[in-house]
Amino acid sequence: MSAVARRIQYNTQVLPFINDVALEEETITPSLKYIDSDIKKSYGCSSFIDITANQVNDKWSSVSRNWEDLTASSQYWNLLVEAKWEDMSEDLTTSGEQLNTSSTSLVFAYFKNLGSNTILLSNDSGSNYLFKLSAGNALYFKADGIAVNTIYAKSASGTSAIEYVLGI
Amino acid sequence: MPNKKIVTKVMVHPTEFVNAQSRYYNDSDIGKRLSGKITTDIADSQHSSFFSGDKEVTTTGTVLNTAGVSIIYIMIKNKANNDVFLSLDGSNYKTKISKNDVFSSELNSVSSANIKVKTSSETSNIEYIVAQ
Repeated sequence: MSAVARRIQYNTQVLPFINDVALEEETITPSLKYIDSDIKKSYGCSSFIDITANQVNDKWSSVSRNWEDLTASSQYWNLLVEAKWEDMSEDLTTSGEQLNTSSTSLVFAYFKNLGSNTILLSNDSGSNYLFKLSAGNALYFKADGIAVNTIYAKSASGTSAIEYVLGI
Repeated sequence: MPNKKIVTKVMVHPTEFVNAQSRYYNDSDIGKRLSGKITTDIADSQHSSFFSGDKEVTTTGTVLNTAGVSIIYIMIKNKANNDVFLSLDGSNYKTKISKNDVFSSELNSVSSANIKVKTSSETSNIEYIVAQ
C-alpha cells in the first residue's frame, strides 16, 4: 500500500441507442444499433487523477485475480501466501458491509459487481443505498467531503461479490 | 421489451510510479486494469427534461429531471472549467465531476426531485441524461 506515487487513469463511454427501428409498415430489429433519436449522440471521457502514494491500509483495494495472472515470478504468489484466495474480492450478503474502516477523506472510488445478483452501494454509512450495480457492471466516481468508512455495500438479494478501489 | 437502452463501458487503470523507469506501471497492489460494461433498459417514454445538451449549473442546487419520477440511470458530462457537484438525496453533494469528466451510474430508484447539481463557485455547463 506504499508507493512513490500513484495515479488512476479512467475512461467512460456512454452510448444511448434504440433497439428497434419502426418503418412505415413494420418494425424491424436491426443487427446494428441506432443512436437514440432524442439524444442523438454518445458521450465519453478519458483522464486521470493522482491519489496519495501511501494508502490507508490493505483494504484500500480488493480485486479478483485470475489464475492466468500467476506465474512463478509473479508478486501475486506472495498475496496467496499472505491472504486467503477468497479475500481478493469481497463477498456480500443483504446486510450492509463497511468496506474500509478508515476515517480519511475519500478521493476516488471504483466498484465492480463480480456476482450474479445486483449490488447496492451507500455513500452515507448505510443509511441510503442509492447506487446500483447490476451483474458485470462497474462504476467509478470522485468523492467530495466524505470519508472512506462511509462506503457500504450489500447484495439486493442472496449473495454477491464486489471488486473495489477506495483511494485517498 | 424496451427499445431505449444505454450502453456504458468503464475502464479504470490504477498505476504506480516506478523510479527506475521514470514512468507509471500497473499498481503493485492491484496489478491489472479494471473494467465493466452494462446495458441499461430505460423507459421508452421519458419526460422532456430527461436529457439536455446544454444546461448551465450555478451555485444553487438545481433539479435536472423535473418529472417527479423514480430514476434508474444518470449520466452527467461536465463541459466547462468549474467542478460540478452531484446530490442524490437532495441535500448532500458527495460526487464531484471535474472538467470534461463523465459520471455514469445505474441508480436504485432515486426520486428525480432529489437529483441536483451545483458548483462551488461561479458557473459550469453540463450535458446530462437522467432517465426513468
